Amino acid sequence: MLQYAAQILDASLTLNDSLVLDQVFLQLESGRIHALVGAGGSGKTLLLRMLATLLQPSKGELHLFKKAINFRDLKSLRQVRSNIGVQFQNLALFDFLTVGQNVGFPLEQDSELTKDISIQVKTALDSVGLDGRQEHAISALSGGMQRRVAIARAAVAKPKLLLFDDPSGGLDPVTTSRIFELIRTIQEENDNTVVIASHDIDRLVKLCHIFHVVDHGKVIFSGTLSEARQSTDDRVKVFLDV
Amino acid sequence: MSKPVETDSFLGNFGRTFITAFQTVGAMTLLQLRIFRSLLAIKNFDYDESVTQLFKIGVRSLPVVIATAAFVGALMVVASGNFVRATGATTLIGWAAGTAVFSEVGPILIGLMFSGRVGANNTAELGTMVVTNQIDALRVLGINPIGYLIVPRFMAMIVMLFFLTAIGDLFALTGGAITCRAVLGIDMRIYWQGILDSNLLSEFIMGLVKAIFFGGAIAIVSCHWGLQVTGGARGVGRAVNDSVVTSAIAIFMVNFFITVLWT
Repeated sequence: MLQYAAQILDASLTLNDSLVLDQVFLQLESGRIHALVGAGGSGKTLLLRMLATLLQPSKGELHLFKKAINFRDLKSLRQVRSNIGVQFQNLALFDFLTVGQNVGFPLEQDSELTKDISIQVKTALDSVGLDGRQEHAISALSGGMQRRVAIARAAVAKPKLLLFDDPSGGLDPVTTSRIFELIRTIQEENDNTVVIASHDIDRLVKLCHIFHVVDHGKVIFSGTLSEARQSTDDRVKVFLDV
Repeated sequence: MSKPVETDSFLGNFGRTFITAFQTVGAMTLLQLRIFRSLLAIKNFDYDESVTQLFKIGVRSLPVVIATAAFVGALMVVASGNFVRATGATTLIGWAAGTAVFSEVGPILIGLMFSGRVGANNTAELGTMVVTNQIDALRVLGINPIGYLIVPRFMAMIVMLFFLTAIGDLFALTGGAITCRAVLGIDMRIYWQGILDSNLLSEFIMGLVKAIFFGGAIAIVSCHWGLQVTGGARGVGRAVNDSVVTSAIAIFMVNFFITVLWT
């Protein structure tokens, strides 16, 4: 039987009186790399924010790790969030902290992970090719380096669900390849469920197992690439370039 | 059947402004309650962040406060100088300057300077954190942004405005003394003796009580507008503007009520 890390069941979302997500049905199989593709403004970031429990569906349900999320129960919400890692589109690095402090931040919040934080931070920074930059200010790094710090921070606590919002945005092809390879390594090492929202179809096709196509606030397709090829919906073929 | 009121009519605009004002006050009250609730959960208190805020808010504001206070004291002496000279009641100069500085002008002007420097900076800082998703990042990491970011700022602003006002009072009186001698030609000893004889302890304490409430009001107002930011850099600018204006209104309102209750 399939195990799901996350399920969005018939969820709709209204923001500022407009319906931005419409009866979404999305299931994320555990231990797989999922791609979220669609035009800009189709609702990919909103779906990621909903999966990160930052947005509550106006209608419908969100299930994470086999539990329905109750947004009023702050204690259990905090517990669920400790199993989620997010790399935001604009990175959301704490500019008042150093590179090392940013990466170590999730570890400090979890009492079970506070042992040997400096070693864990060093290992995480080594894995993203930023060894020796622990004491640097965030502003002293290039865009690509900052993106790698954000990825290291999202993954350092080995969360069950890892969400990446446009991990290669504005980066050169070499750095982009490196970042996608990094995501693959993280997933293989920790067997976590990964979701990537991106427009970089070529690289997504090489990396991801399952594809979800989002259009005008609806998930219009979920499946493998070979299933996408058989789809009768032209939009799916256009977005996945099959 | 009566026609519905048009939304862009004078009445419609007035009503909308009224509702927005009430919504803002309501949101600030809720923020205040959440701050108090976080304060009670003392185990979540972030001491490092509190020390950082105390330094940033207090120590760095000292030069501005000293400069403002010294000129406020000088101004009070100059303003009462004509009356004193005309009547020959030179012994009253200390009383006049001391009363004004301690109870009204000192705390208000230092509070306004504080709101312009610290409150505006706080709104911009929090607003930038909102638009760059740093607040969301904290929430995903299971951290309550109120306990982690707002409570240390709230405490630091109250504590530091209290001490800054006390220090400011001292420099205001000193500024007044120098002006008394330099501009009015009245002996400084007469000025200081006038202050001591006037028994201004009650005014001094009232000024410090006002500073505590001003600090709390500036903290809540600036944090509220910072957390409400939407729409990028332009939104941050708008929030800073709203923060400074609302803080000034809050300072004058709080000042009025404390003065009425105290006297």
